Formats: sequence, C-alpha cells, structure tokens
Amino acid sequence: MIAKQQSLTEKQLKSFDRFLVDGTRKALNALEVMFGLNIDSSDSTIEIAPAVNSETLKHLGNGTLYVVSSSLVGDLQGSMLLLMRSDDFKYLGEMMRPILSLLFLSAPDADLSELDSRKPDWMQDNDTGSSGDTAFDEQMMDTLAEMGNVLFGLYTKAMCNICALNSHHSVPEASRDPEQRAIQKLLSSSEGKRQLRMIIENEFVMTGRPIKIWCLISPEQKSFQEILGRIENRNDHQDQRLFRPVQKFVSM
Amino acid sequence: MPMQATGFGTDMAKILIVDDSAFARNSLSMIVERAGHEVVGRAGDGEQAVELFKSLHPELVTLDFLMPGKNGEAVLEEIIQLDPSAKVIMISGFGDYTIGEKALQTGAKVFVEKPHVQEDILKVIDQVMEA
Repeated sequence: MIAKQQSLTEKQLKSFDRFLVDGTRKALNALEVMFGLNIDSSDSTIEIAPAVNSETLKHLGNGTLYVVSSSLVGDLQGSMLLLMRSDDFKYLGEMMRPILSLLFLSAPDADLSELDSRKPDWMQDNDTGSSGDTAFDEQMMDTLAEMGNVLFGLYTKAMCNICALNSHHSVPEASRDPEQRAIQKLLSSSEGKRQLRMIIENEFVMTGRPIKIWCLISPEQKSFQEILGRIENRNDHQDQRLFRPVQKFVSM
Repeated sequence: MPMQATGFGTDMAKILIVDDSAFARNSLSMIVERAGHEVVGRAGDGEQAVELFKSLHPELVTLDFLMPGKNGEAVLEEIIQLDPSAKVIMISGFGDYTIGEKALQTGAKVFVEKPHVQEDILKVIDQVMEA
C-alpha cells in the first residue's frame, strides 16, 4: 500500500506499489530463510516523501534505534538505512539466541568461554547498549548487518526492476543509535527538506509477536528524477525482459 | 569409502568459506558440514581468503562478493590467477545482474544470491564439484 505520494503519476504509483510488493515479499522470505523462523503475517507501506514531511518516520518514536547504513552505487547514487526499534531488536535477539549459540558454537574459531547462557544487559530493561556478553552483542550486530545486506540487495533489485537500471549497495554497517542521529541527520539536512525518499515500513509477526523494520532508500535528487523518468517512459511490455536473471551455470 | 555429501551423488568436498559476516559464514558452514562436506577454512576478509586458498588448497571456495577492503571480485581474480581451474561459487546479496555476469566471466562457476536455501546451495555445490 502506498501511504503517501508526492505528485506522482498513476504509472509511477503503480510501479512503486509493485516495487513494494515484490521487494517486501522477497525480503520477508529472506528473513525466514536466514533466521529459520516463520513469519505468520505481514503488512507493508511505502511513503514517497521528503524526510521532514514523513508521517511514517514518526512511528519510530524517540527511543534507541538499531541502524544499518549503506550507500547506493552504480547507475543510481544515494544512501540506504535499515532501522529497528530497541524493543524489537531485543525481541529478535531473544529469538535468535539459541540459533546464534548453535551457529557460533559449531564454529571451530569460536571463543566458547564467552558464550554463556546469561541474558545480556541490553536485553534487560536498562538498555545501556553495553553488555557483559560481548560475544553475543557482536553476534547480534553482525546478524543485523547481514540482515541489512540481504534486504538492501532485495529492495535495490526490486527498485532497479521498476526503472531498468543497475545499482547495488556498499558494505553495510550496523550501529546502535540511542539519540537517533541517523534520523536527525536526515531531518536537519537541506536534502531532508526537499529530497524524495522511499520510506518503507514492514510489520510482520514472528513467533506470535509483531516486529517492525523500516527501510529508507534515499536516491540523490538526480537519481530519483532518473527513476521517475524511466518509469514514466517505459513500455510495459519491456518489464520482464529488461532484467534477465543471472545465468548461474554459464561457466560450467 | 568416500562420504556421500548430499544424496545427489557427489563426494565430500573440502571447502573454504569466505564471508565478512560471521553469521553468514557460520550458517553456511553448518549447512555444508551437516551434508558431509569438510570446511577446511573460514575467512572473514579478502586477504585472509587468498592466504588460506594458497595454504589449504580447497577443492571449492564459496566467496562473498561484498566485503570491506579486498572484495570478492579481487579475491576471485587472484584465486583464478593462482589456479585457473579453481572451483569458486560467488555469493552475494546484490541484485545487480552485471556483477554476477562479471564474476562468471572472471572465472566463478556459479553466482548465487543471498540468502540461499539449504537444499539449493547444496545442489549447487554438488553440480560444481561434478563439473
């Protein structure tokens, strides 16, 4: 569902809707595969708006965010953010703990002494962001970065599919952001006031509890205009042919 | 008698897993080890990957494209220079098909997108080993 549009044509709206459906379906499938946990239901929206006008970003609240950031490179230039609220990140941590323990215990280079069963401090009510269980903290941040890596790739591919361009993302970096600096930076910059962004909100139910993730795709102004122009000028019958899948076995 | 790997008829492979993400590295390690393959090494960056390839002589390398520093593309070029017949599966979260095509041209046997379903990646490993 498109929550808000900024002077978009019918064709552009349909394309962004298709981008949302395609990207989100693959993103949620990817999370199921990565985590081995079932997603029971989901609801997604996309808002195309400058950061300062965004209604979706208000849903983030004021608390600590867990952030993955990356750049958009190739035909399109810009930046990407994946955002999770602290309570959802903690819940994901609770769900992932047995999986991570298994994964990292099986690794011969794992430091087993650090993998005790104690709940880390950041999973308690007093979220200081620091934990006695350094190994588990690092595993969760590494998992978050990999989650960003996969989701950025899928959304970039879905975006490229609607505008027939080739782009990819840079190495993602995960961080804890207690002061929401990532958002403040967007809101305070001159680009924040005028640059259109794709602001995707995904809510999905994992093992009985809803979790929200936000994905902000911020092509530079020139790149966004390129996306809009290409959507508008594209012939619909070209859609499926412009992006052929990689021939995975061509060298064999 | 050699150990059967996945039921597709391929013998156990000695595999080097290269990925900057420990989560991805360990997930793939678990999948291939449970299928009977041997993980001879794990590398978290490109430099380490090339060193381990030289010293361990793996039969197969799974190589993440997107890594800080020396990325998968540069590592692939070095590995192919060292051993033009090296069996490398390039793995990436990218949706950019030109990256995949370039990897195949450079010498990767297969380009696989993340995240990989267990059965799919095992089948790909078998196919590359049998080729």
